[in-house]
Amino acid sequence: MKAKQIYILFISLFLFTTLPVFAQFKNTQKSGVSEKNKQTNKNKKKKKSDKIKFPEDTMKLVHHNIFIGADLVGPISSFFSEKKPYEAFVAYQYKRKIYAVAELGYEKNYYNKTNWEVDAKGPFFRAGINYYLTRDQYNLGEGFYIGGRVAFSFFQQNINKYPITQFNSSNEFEIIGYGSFPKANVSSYWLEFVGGAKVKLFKYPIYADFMVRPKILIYSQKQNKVDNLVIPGYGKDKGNFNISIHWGLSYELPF
Amino acid sequence: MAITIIGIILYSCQDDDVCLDASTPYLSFEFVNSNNDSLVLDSLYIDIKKSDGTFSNILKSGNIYKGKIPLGDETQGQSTFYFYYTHNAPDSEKDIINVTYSTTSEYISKACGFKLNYHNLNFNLQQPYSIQSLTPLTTDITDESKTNLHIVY
Repeated sequence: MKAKQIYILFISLFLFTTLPVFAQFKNTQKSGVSEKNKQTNKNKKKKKSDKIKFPEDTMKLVHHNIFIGADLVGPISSFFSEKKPYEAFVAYQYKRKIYAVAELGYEKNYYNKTNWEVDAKGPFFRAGINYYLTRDQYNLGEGFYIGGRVAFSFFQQNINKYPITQFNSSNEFEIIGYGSFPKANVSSYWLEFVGGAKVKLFKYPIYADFMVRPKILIYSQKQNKVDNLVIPGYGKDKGNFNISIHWGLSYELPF
Repeated sequence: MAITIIGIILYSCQDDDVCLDASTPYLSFEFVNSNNDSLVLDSLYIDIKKSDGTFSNILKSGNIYKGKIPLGDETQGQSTFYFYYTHNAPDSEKDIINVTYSTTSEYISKACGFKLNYHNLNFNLQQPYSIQSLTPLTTDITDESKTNLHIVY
């Protein structure tokens, strides 16, 4: 693994482990002030003798939160490399713990390694749900969630150079020539699993998002049977499995 | 936590960049006598004549009854081989074989790139010396599973 990937991984791990501490702390503080009458849709806390069951779980949702957000890592890193990924999402609170999410993005990327030169650019789409594992009763957007997505991308691919190979008389792998193909429109389809956290920043309805997403490539429509080496929204040179880490900001719409 | 651990494992799984599959096949031949029995040559040298006119030795062996040689890449469409039997033999004491072909390229994998398949093979004994004739066994070569040519001495 390259140093940059290790660096990102450790920062993410560190923050991912410290977030639960932070969220717990906030939770205990807020549950103490149960008398406070908040303006948003709130429950009356009825204490049952044996276990405390949050009545809000069984109440019908009156107000559905809607979040819109965007990925930050992509646009920032596009200043340092030629990869240009942009991604935004809309999340709609369908049930108390379940959000329906639609994501849209555009990526331009390239693969120039091991004698290949491939460019790709195009949009990608994802749709799925997030299911919240932890709840902050006063702040419905915050917490840890897991989820899944169905995703696909239709993109334009340019195979500028591919290697023609042979094993020589000493059985060593050799390149004996090169070829290229004209640009073509191809597509790929994959599934994603999401593990993420959302934390409210300050007093404003702005949240920081962190997500880890393992992905499985399901199907690709290819050019001349060549594997799609660069897939917008999925990754490059990753074969059938990939994992990515996302950082972004989102905003709770004031409805 | 479980997701993070799975993440670490999957994140470090990079695609293999080593080619383990077979790629562009060689031309395989065997030596026979006029009765079609297998024949062993005491010594054999094979040079390939490259597109710039220079020669490159691609086989040097003794006690040999079969061999294989590369046909080259698609830009040539033909390859010329010089077969000879003593180290510094003059050109007049060499057998010259010319092979013409067309190619198609086929994707193997990211690590292996593309291979060439040879079609419409035509064998031509341009200058006979020890070789009597050539008996082609195929007109296409896509792998090295079969012998493609019998060389009759």
